[in-house]
Amino acid sequence: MEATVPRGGYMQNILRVDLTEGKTTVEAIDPDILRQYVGGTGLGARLLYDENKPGTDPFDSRNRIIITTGPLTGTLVPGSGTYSVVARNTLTGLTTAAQSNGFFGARLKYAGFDAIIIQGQSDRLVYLCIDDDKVTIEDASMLAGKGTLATDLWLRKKHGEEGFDNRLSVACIGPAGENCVRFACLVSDRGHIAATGGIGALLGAKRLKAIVVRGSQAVPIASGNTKAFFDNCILWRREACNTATGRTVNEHGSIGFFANYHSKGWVPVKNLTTNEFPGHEKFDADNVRKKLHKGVARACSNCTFKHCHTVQVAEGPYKGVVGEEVEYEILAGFGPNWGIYDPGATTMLNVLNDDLGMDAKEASFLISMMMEGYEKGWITKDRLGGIELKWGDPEAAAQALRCISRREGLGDLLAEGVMRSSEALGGGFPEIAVYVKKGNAPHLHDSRARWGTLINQVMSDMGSIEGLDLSSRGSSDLGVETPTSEPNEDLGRVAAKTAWWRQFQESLTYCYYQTASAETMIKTLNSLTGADCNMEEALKIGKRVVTLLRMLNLREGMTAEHDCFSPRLKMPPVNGASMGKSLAPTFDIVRDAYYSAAGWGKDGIPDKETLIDLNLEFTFSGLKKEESCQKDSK
Amino acid sequence: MPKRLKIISENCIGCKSCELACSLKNSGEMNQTRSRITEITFIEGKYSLPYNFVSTCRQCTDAPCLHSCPVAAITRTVVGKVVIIDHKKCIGCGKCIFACPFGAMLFNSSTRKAFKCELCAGNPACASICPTDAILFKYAKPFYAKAEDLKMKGIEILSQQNLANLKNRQKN
Repeated sequence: MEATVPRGGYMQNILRVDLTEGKTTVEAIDPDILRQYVGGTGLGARLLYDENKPGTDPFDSRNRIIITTGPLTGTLVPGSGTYSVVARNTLTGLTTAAQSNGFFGARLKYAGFDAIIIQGQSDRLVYLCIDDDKVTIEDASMLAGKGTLATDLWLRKKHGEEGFDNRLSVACIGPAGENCVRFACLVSDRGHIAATGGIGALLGAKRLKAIVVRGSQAVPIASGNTKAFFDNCILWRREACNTATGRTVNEHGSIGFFANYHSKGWVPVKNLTTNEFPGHEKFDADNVRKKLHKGVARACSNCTFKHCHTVQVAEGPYKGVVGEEVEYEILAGFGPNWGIYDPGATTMLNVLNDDLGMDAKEASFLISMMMEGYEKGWITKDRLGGIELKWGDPEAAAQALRCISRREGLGDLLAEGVMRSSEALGGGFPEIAVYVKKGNAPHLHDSRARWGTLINQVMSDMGSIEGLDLSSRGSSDLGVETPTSEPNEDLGRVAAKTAWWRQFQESLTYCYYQTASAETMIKTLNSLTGADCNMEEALKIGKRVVTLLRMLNLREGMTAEHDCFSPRLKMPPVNGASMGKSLAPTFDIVRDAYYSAAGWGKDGIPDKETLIDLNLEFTFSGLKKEESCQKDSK
Repeated sequence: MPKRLKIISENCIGCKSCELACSLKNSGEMNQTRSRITEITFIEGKYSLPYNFVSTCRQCTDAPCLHSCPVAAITRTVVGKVVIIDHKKCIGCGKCIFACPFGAMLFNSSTRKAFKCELCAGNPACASICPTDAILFKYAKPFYAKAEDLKMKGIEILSQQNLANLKNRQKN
């Protein structure tokens, strides 16, 4: 059956940018792919599967970087500026899918594109300029080495928005990306980050410094559905403000989670060597937001929350520093995880890290590992290029970040990320390194007893959290009435199901904090696109995306051994609310339950029946190659 | 006393929901360039922190656009005293765009007609959608432009944009 073109929600176009040839072309999207993968991460995974040459190095110039939006992007759905980047993961060698909010995604749609495929490699530093259908590749030599903030301002000025933001978005890399730091990120709209998996490094290798986008087109609504769609958006906006997460984020930003997470032992402290630290009250949201900083809200596209802010530090040694307000994870990761107990210092470090263009997850667990090693005497000040990398020293941490971004001295080694650095340094380092999946640092939690988060990271095929963490709450949408508070088979089964739902959400492409009830979200999608989706179909789409991501990774040589976590993450916390807990003893049971629920074998490879059921027959050949490669090597 | 849009910029978070809601209600499409209200976030300038600026038609008591129109397409409603455009009469000459000191008179390059905020016939979409009460629809005293209003950088940007749109039309 030939798929019909969706009646709304899509611009129906992909922009292909060939940096080797210096050419751009516009292509139509196959409506059947939109029906099966919706958009965002799903669409990106499918395009990457079809386009990439398997078995190459992530930095191979033939590899693609896919930037996608979803049907909801650029609409009145709250948090609709989001986009997704799907590409090879430079840390694991597998796949990454990273999302960023702001306005970039919405403006890409307004310019008439659902996705961008970036391929090839330029012989000089360039930027891509998209102004509706006028797409050009421009010289960026004057932006070489510039931070992401200066790059944004310079490009804004050049393209008519000097010092202000009205219709123009800039997504760019900093020096870390240009120097191919393995955890360099893509920064859009000044401080919104597609962080995971080294996308900045991939762009740096292709010598693409930035993408400027502005558009003046409308996102279409299925004809006759305008009122229904508007009403659904209003319902969604109302519901999003009334979830537990929504209420907290609206009132305090994500730093509102700090006190609760601390009480549960989920805040990472000193590279997970302890769960206690002095002065944790200083990190309470009211104190951070109202006393230690002053700020102005700078929301993302169609947000309904007083969440994202630009702030100025109001007291302490970093008084006067201006930048984006830290999110919870960065407050924890650049604060207690480095033994830094001054929220103002985390703002300074966040501004610096954003400007250099690096993923905070990897940066945090990398520096914390080095601080622990320095304390233990495993690494000297000389080897660190004169930096006294002591716990709690923001200046030392800042110096280390700069060295890494420039790959100077030991920074050249550390730029390879936590796992590779720990292996190269040897000694005790591999035992204290915090990473999952043979390569990337997890999100900035002490997830050793936050089993939902840990299993979501360990099983994830896209470098970041794959599913929902239901370790402190259930989900009526998914029929999970009670929290998955024990590391047993149930945790594995639920983790698989939450991954399908979450990846369906990521394919819709909106800000996750703005989640409404499943019924409202699906209703909104249907009224926009004219589709007839239901919960069963939504979960199947999500399962298809999750399974395709696995097939992408299997094609790149992943095995069940990749579904693992580093020794430090197996060590139970020595104090605090989570003392003594660990996922390690029952991990095999949890993982096998996940595989089984997902329709995968004990080797983590999806069953043939599962692939047929999900219309993923086209991946058989990749699997055969993978298996035959293994046989050959034997 | 008629109802007017009252904008409290300090409450604005810069989400631009007002722009999409306006365009959806008034032109049936989600297109910010068809919005009668505009939000600009100033990132760098005089102040260390950004600020969000929102602007639309003030329904001036002494409306220069109304007087500038050569074909009397712009009139004021009896009820509500709202300045409205009769699109059948509008010839797209752009005189009103030059006349408006607030950059609130816009130009649609597809229809080649001027358009502006007409308060959604008494139920403005922007005020309904605003999540932070930055846009209110309240009874207000008659509005007269003051010299300091016109010094705002945002107004200058909007005026320039509208004139550029008009110029593009003339080129085409």
